[in-house]
Amino acid sequence: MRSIVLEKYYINAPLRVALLTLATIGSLILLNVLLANGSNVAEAYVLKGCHEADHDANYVDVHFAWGTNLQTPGSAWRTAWSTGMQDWEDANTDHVILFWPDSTSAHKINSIWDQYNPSPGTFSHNYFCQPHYSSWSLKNNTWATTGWSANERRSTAGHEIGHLLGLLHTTNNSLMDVDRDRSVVYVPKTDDINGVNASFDD
Amino acid sequence: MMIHFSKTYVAAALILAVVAAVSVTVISVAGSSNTDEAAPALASHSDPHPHPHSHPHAVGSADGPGVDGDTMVALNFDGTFARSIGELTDTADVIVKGRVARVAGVINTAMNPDDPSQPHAEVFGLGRIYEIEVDERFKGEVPGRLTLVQNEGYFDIGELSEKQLENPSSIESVGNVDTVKPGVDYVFFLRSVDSELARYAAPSYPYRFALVEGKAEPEGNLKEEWSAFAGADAESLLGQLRTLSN
Ligand SMILES: [Zn+2]
Ligand SMILES: [Zn+2]
Repeated sequence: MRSIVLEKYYINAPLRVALLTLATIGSLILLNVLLANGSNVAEAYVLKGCHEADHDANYVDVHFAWGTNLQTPGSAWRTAWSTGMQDWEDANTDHVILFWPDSTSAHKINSIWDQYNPSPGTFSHNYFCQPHYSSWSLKNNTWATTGWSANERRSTAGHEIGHLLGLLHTTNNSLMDVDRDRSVVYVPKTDDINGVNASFDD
Repeated sequence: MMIHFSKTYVAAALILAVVAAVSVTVISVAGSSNTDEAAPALASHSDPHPHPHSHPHAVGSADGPGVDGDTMVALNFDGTFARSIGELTDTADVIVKGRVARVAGVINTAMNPDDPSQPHAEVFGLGRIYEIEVDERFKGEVPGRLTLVQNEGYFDIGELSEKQLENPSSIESVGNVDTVKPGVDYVFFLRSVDSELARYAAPSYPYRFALVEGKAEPEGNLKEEWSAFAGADAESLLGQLRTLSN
């Protein structure tokens, strides 16, 4: 019975090749869609629902003041924060993100030494922030980062700035993953950029 | 013959499809890590930032409703999170079961990074001191009472009143800090910071587990990181820790 059906729908060689190619492309697209969706559900960016207040439809302007221990250009943590900012400026986000040093700004970036807090970096903000952080500050903790490389510091700075731009933690080895290897993951990844695009879509 | 050929054909098509799909996925994954490596070199960055663009400034998008004058703050930390009891055990100098006996004041934990013997000029680190009455020891030499210093936020010194600076115990912890509670039995994983003063702090997060209704629940900042620990059985945690002290 089956052979009869197949006999009836017998197809010639060039058509077979064409169908095989189509089947391959189709399955490939289907599989990739399935794989991509699977990982997105489990691992994609998480939004806080709050982000830097100073933005319009095209630009995000982050005004900040260097703290008392970050006054020297070229010093380790000043370089880390500057590079972390540059990484976000260079990321291909929908909004152009710009960082503006301004000694009169209330938004401070400070370097501290705190042996009671194991966190290398902290982002503080006003508690009732939806949708905008009206007050915020960024800190690095040199006690927790003794012996760290430039890229590990840079990764920490970029991560904290990610919080300012509206991101929470992920588990997908992006910049917002607290478990990432900071010496390898130190610039915003596609998922971080997608997150910031979604964050400022208001 | 026709059936045989068709089966081979279908099998080959399927295998090809899978191989092609997997290779495309592998290539795209490899591509995304290459982007990371293509990051701009540190040396190429001049400081302060060059900002050649001029652009319309955001209008009317400053503070959201209800946040003007709001001094209550919240924290986001980066790392360091343990993923298992084994990891916590390795990073802790001391593991005990105990409870808060009293709140013994506040210290400023934010020190000057260029001279850590001096307090920071601009930042106040709210370190609240809890006296912990110990009733079981699992790791480390521990006195009957120890003090736990918990980070409960950072403040710009300029934003604190003179009164608050004179009496830092009056400074409230920041909005989202889940502080250690009196009257609850805890398992604490601690790191020795000052052995003379028997002061301890968190080695990583989570560092304490509330023993409530037969469960050992992780407590503290950033709970979303702790799915690995949620809903653990209290007796099995204590049993696991008792094997350490034997
Ligand atoms: Zn907005
Ligand atoms: Zn974080």
